[in-house]
Amino acid sequence: MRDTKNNKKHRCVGLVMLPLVATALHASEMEPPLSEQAFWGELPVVMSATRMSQPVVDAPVAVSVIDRRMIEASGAREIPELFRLVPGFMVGYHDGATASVSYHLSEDRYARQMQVMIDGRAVYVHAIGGIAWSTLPITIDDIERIEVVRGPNSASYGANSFLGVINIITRHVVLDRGTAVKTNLGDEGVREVFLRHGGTNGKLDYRVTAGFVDDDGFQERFDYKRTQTASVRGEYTINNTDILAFDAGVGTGPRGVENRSTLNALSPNREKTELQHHQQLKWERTLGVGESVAVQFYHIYLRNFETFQTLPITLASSGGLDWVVEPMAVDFGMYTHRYDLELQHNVNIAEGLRAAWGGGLRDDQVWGGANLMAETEVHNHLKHAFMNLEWDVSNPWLVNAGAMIEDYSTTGTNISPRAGVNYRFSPVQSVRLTGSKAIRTPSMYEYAAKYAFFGPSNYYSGSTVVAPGPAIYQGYDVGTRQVGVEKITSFELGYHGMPIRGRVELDVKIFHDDLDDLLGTRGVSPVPGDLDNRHSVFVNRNVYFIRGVELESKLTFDDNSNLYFGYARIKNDRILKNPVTGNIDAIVDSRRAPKHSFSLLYMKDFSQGYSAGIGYYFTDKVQSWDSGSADRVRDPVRRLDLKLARKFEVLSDEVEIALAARNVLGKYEEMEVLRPKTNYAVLNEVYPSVYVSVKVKLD
Amino acid sequence: MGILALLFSATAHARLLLITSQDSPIYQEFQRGVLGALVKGGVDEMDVRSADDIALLDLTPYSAIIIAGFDAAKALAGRDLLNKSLIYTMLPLSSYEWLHDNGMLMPQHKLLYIDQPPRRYVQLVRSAMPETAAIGYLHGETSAAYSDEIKKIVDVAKLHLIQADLVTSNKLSNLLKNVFADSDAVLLLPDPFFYNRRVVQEVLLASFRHKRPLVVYSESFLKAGAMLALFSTPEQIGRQTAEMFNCLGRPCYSAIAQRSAPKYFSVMVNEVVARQMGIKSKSAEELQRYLESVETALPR
Repeated sequence: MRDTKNNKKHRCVGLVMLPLVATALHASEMEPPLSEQAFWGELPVVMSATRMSQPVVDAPVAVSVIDRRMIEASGAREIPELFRLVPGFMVGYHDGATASVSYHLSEDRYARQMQVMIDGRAVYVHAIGGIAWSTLPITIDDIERIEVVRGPNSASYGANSFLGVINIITRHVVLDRGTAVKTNLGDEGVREVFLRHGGTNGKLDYRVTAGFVDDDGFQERFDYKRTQTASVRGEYTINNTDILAFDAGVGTGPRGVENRSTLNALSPNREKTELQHHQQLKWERTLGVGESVAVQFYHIYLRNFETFQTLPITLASSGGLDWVVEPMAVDFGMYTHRYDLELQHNVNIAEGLRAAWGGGLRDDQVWGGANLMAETEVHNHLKHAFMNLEWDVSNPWLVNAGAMIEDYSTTGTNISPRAGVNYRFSPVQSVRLTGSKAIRTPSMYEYAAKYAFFGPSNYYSGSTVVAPGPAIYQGYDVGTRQVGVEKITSFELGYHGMPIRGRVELDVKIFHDDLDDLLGTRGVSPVPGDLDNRHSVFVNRNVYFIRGVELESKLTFDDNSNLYFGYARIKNDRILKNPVTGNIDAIVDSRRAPKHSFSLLYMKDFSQGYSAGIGYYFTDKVQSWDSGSADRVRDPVRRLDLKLARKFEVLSDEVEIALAARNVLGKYEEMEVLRPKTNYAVLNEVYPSVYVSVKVKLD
Repeated sequence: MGILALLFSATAHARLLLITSQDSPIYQEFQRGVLGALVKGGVDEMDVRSADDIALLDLTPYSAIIIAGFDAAKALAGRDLLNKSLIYTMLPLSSYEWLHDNGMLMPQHKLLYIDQPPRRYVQLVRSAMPETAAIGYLHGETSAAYSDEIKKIVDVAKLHLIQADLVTSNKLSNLLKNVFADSDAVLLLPDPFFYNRRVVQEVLLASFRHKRPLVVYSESFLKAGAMLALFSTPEQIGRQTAEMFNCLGRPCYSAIAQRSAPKYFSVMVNEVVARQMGIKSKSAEELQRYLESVETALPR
């Protein structure tokens, strides 16, 4: 019934969008091929920092750009892997289907403090937190570039742009005309096929993609994934100033879920199915030089089907009687809808002063199954407005200032401001000093969770029930609906420029971040029937001071090869406060981020269509996820990836064959490995692997 | 937009109407150019209106109308404009031709279009990079109209021309790679295809990857990463429009043609890009002076 209701909602969305598309398609042909605006119109550069196009030297915060060449040279098979390149970023896997990407702080697999956008669509999952990377209806080949804002950016993108923002920008539809087929085959059961067709019909450019991804996950674990994705993207040029863009996609498939509970019988190996789909429509009008107005609507639906039966558990045996918990029917299912409407206006206010401002409405609806959120549906309504200003005071000074005001139905009203000044001591070099505040709203799981197992128990004599036992309630996390927002205050002193023109591009960032009221769990008195006293509630309790320096560089050599280099030195301190006085009792050197990490990517094109990429990644010791003790750290990881590719033509079709050898230095432990090993005989280890890729572009 | 009335001396008896497509900064700059160059005494009174403000306007009192921009021209289509001096301006040539083909123009009029003569771009490339041997020309459907003219100019200059039609290509990246690899500089002229910013990004990316400069038609394109730009500002177009008006019905130093290309233009050099590409270019001022001297030497 529930899904039927949801399907109706989707049809409604479709019905709303269809007339808009139809109107646009019918839009007047009464236009000349070219407007005079084309002679004086603006061409954006980067957008992610302030929602305004600006050269990186003018941006108030550090922005890393992963471009198409880096994506191809890295040999990455999945999108999360790319972020190993970015200074300060941590990439970990809970299992083969659950990746996590975080920055400066990694407490668990959900990485709730990161915002991820795809072409302006926020794909952060409000139900649980984190990103459902494996069912995103986008392939790595769809991506043109990724702009990564390293630092809080709630002033531009709102709550959850807390530690950083990943802005994935897909390739424009006109760039991928024709048909292409790609397949990857390799170790760990990797069997992937991607199909793409792009074309044009009058003023409509479109691209249709489909993907079939199979892999067996980590070598010794029950964590396979089988994913099918499909998407259609298009852009209709209404006239010389108006564009209507649309995007719709679906991703779904089963995953193996391995027992990860301290009571094995509660969580047997099983299969779950994930589904997500989205519809996005954006109208944008260019008003003049640097001026535009855009209205965007999107809907994202995410569904997790996970029902299973626990195994019988014998709790005690005495005098020939066994106290047995009967198998329990468990529903960890979950769905979430996000409806988002936003207006943005970019305007030149005066000479040297421009703004991006706007506002919007959002409704997040979250439902959790009987054992996750007690089958309740929670709504979180958002009203927000934002303004970012860029004031080119006078060369060399540039000021960026902005704020976002958000009113959530669950957590109230907050303002996230940012102000920064850039001193441009040459056209290609600047020093920036920026301060900002940002927030993260609790996920609906943290807000209203009722994560528990419950069912009957009986007393057995042999296989015969002799008397009913007490009802069992194995409680874990509970959301009290009293939690507030997490807060960060961040200061950044940075340099960006080309100290050796055409050779070296360099960005240095020194930062100091105070994170307060971070959500964590606190144990509470067990309720009657609790099996192992792990009952806890979410509270705003954690405080961190994170300080450090990051360096990013791109070198260009005489032979046109390139070296990308990233380094981060992070001091991550957890602050223990007296719960009564609020005073700092102790500062603990936390391992929630590696003290040192660096990445190298060398990219070279040879003659005859050959190209090569060499990626090396180092991550210092880091505390593993979900481990309560700071001494449970993962040893340093050194990872080397190699890729060799060749492009050539066969009967005028372009063919690319690539061989990628990954992690050739030997196996290492993933982030989710160090919970009590007595419970988990099988570790979460990454082994060396190889895959071959063949891509054919047909005329 | 309200009416801006300017009173000039009463030696002449012209009442001028200036219609702009919009009341936006571009047209305000254009208007400043017009006002700065109108000969005092040439008009009794001038009214300024935007295209969406003329539906009910009685045109009878006006002896001359300057129609600036496509929307302005479209708004006047079908109105009785006989016996009036008309100047269409601020129009790309392709827009003008579209208006003409759709019967939206009066038979008697003058035109000042905003497309630069292609020869200027070739002269600019040769002046900025004298060692140039091959010029690439990336065009779309609209800018393909210049292909033949560019070919002739390049042939006369004994250069090699590499043309590529981006619109019909299924492999844009490959096409760009080939053009940039074989050219010393690559030229783009206005085309709706390039108004798509992501296509522009791909072109700019190819320019950077191959260290081959782009020569373009707008300041914003230059700021985005092209090396050389040649264009007329709205103020320059306004100035020339006023000069055309000044010559209507009276003897002038040079007769005005039915169709005129921009006489005034600006050259800009993105020195950052030039340095990144290892190109030692002359300054924008030097290049502009050179091009102006060439223009002066051309037969009138």
